[in-house]
Amino acid sequence: MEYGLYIDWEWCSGCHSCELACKQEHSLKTDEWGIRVVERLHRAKDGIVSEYIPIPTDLCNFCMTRVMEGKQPACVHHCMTKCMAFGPIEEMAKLAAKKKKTVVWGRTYPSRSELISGTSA
Amino acid sequence: MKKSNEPDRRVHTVTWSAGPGCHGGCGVFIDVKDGKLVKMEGDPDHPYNNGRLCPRALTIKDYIYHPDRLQNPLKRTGKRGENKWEKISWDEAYDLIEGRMEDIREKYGAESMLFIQGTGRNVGGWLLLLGYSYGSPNWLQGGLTGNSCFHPRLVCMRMTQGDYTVPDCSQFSQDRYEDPEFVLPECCMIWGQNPAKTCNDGFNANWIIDMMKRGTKTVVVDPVYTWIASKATIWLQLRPGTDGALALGLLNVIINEGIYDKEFVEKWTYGFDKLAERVQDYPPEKVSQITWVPKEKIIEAARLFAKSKPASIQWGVPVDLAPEGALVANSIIHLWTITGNIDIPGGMAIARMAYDVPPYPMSQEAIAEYYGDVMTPEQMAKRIGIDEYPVAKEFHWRAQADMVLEALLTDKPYPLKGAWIAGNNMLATSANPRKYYEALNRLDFIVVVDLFMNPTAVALADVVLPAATMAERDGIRAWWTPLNAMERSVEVAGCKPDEEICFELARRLNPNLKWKSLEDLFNDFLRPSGMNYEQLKEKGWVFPPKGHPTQPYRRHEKGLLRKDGKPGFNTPTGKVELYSTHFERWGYDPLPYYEEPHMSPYSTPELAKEYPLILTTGRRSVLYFHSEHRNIKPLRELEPDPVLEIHPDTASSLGIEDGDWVWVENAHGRCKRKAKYFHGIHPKVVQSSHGWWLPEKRAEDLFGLWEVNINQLIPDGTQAKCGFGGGQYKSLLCKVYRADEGIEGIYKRETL
Repeated sequence: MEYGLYIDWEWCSGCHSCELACKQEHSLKTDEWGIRVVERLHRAKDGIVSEYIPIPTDLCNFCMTRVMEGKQPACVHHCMTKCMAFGPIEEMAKLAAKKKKTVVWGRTYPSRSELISGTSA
Repeated sequence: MKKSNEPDRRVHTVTWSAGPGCHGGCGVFIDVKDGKLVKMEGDPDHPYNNGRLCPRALTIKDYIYHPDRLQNPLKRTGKRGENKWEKISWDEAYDLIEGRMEDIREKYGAESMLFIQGTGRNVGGWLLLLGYSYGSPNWLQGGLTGNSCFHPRLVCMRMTQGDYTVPDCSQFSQDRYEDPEFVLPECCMIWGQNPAKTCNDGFNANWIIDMMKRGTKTVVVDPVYTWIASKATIWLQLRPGTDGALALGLLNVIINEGIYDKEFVEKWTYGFDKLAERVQDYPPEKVSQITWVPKEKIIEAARLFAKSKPASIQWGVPVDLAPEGALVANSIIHLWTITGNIDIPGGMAIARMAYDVPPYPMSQEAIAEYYGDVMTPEQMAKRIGIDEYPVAKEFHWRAQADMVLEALLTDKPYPLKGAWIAGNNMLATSANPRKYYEALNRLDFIVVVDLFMNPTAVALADVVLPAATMAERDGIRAWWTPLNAMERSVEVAGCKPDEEICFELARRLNPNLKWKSLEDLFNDFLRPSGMNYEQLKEKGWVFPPKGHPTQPYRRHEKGLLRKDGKPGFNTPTGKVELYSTHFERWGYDPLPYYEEPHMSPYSTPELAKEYPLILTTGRRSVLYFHSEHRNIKPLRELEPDPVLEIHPDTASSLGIEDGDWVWVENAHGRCKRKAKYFHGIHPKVVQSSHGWWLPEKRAEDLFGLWEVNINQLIPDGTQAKCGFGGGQYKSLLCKVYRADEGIEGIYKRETL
């Protein structure tokens, strides 16, 4: 199954909730992160400002155990500005096509059993 | 089949207090396995947060099971500051405290004991229970000059419009933005707040962002080009502390251009002509010179706000912290009043506690309802600050912080002998903290209630009591709406909730206490809702029905605001008082005016030669709540150092590279900061976060407090004439220079 993690980075406020929701969900160590918020400078209307975008890392497995239970990945669920979405890649691509400053991080998942055993990351 | 990592049970509750630390009430599920919290997740159905949670809530496991968590009552054995303690049982602690407090009451009177909270949260109401049961009216937010956090705005709202108001972001309805009665505001003015980084006072700031995404235009008033300012329709970059002038300038444009709501002004306000006359002193040109905001932008913002209907204003603590903060609050109230935005959908909704349930009462009336028979009028008359400040006497319910500091040092109006300090790391957070250290150290007996050892506990406490996080508490939360039950999910050995600690001592110190148990008290508090605690717990949260006096809209038209049942507002004139009859009666100027900051290039030009930069402190971080969370590793990883944000041009001219350690200094004191190049700030302004101490350093050295505490640069005694507002945390002068060394032993990040 092909899934996508959609991010509308016009509205990412850099709150770090995705990073810490992921850490809690997957019991990651201090220096392990399943998603990182990257900050960069951007020249906006009235001056230079920080802009943010979350990028999944190798440790991200799209929270497929949660997804199989009908929930959202931990990062999407907790995002403070609700700038993230998750679903089949076609739907996410449609969302991205409609709006500027968006991106879809995609991944293919092999089989349900692998997902549930957590070996697919 | 049950998997090995599956939780044993899932508990629904709301976040309030220790853990996330904030004033919010986010609905959460707590997963418990083998008696321990394994996960806390946002409840998507809870209308306060709709699933989302902040970093501090998401790291609550690290907080609850932190190895440094206090888990025993401690009795001091060495001198204050030596950090030598003996572990004692709760019974021993209660006996000891009861004995000392009885002794103080007998010899000096109950009023000589202070009950000090920090920014309150789920502590304040319980201090009220304990303090009043003991017989002391001296309950306060300690260390805060001019009571300058929300309380200037609160008392002004009561005086001027009779009730509190908050921007209506549909939070009064379970259906939120989909509620057919709700109207999306056309414009929301965000005054001195950064909703991306902080929520305030029963208000989830992300609601503002929700509304912006749905199309609400914004005017952002902020000296700094924050992320939210970059999304604003209009950004007003004012000089820190000049908020009062800006508000009067906006009123000037709106009144002179006749773009106010004439019908509302005619029908529901008092003193418009006098206000119109006063604002003639603040034409846009002059306001532009004071505030550094271009004249055109002031006019443009005034027009956008006034011509939008509905419109609202979300304000932050800089309003209170501006010179004469109460007057700034009043000017902003006048902005939403003359544009006719009170208690209309999408405007400024009148906010009362859901069903008037009072776990954290915010008026004299609410307190009298539940504690009227506990506290005698003779004792009540001893509340510190009421002789100096009629606003405190008539409209407030706590002791005035500056007058308490005076009393501590001068023994006038009477000597103070003891303090109960709960959830207030005062040496890290008060203005002029070294003076507070000296003043509090004069007390004979100090109890500190907290979750971790901190500089204040080490320096001053005689007894330390270990408190519980929100996950370890049963309780009620009603801060505006909805009304929530809190349910305990886990226990941490040795720790107790403030509710239990305060109730036990209240019972011991007042044998006539009318409540026999905490549950009895919860049920009594819940009376107006028609439910008891068990029933509320079943439901989780409830909204009062539409049409209830604690639900919007247009209650002034329906006669739901005044005790006499007549239409109008709960003020002497029955109208919103643009000209304050209360201020007039007390001999203050009844109309707002602008006052320059105590330290500024204009008020103290000589001082500005030596200290040429304007310093604004208290920059919020979503990772920390005031002085908390520096010991929570995943959070500290993301913001390891206390930083000073400085414009790259200013920094280069001072030979400061990005990431250099610097001293920030003025005539009152200095502290270290790591310079961070930041384009979004005026070259003459620098900004810093507050509340820093270094839990990784030695307790005996007060955790490196004096090296990093920026409040050493903040003077005390700058309160407004009426006693409310004016703490100068946001508009100081300073100089910045390179430090030879960084901070020894400071936390080092592990992440690449």
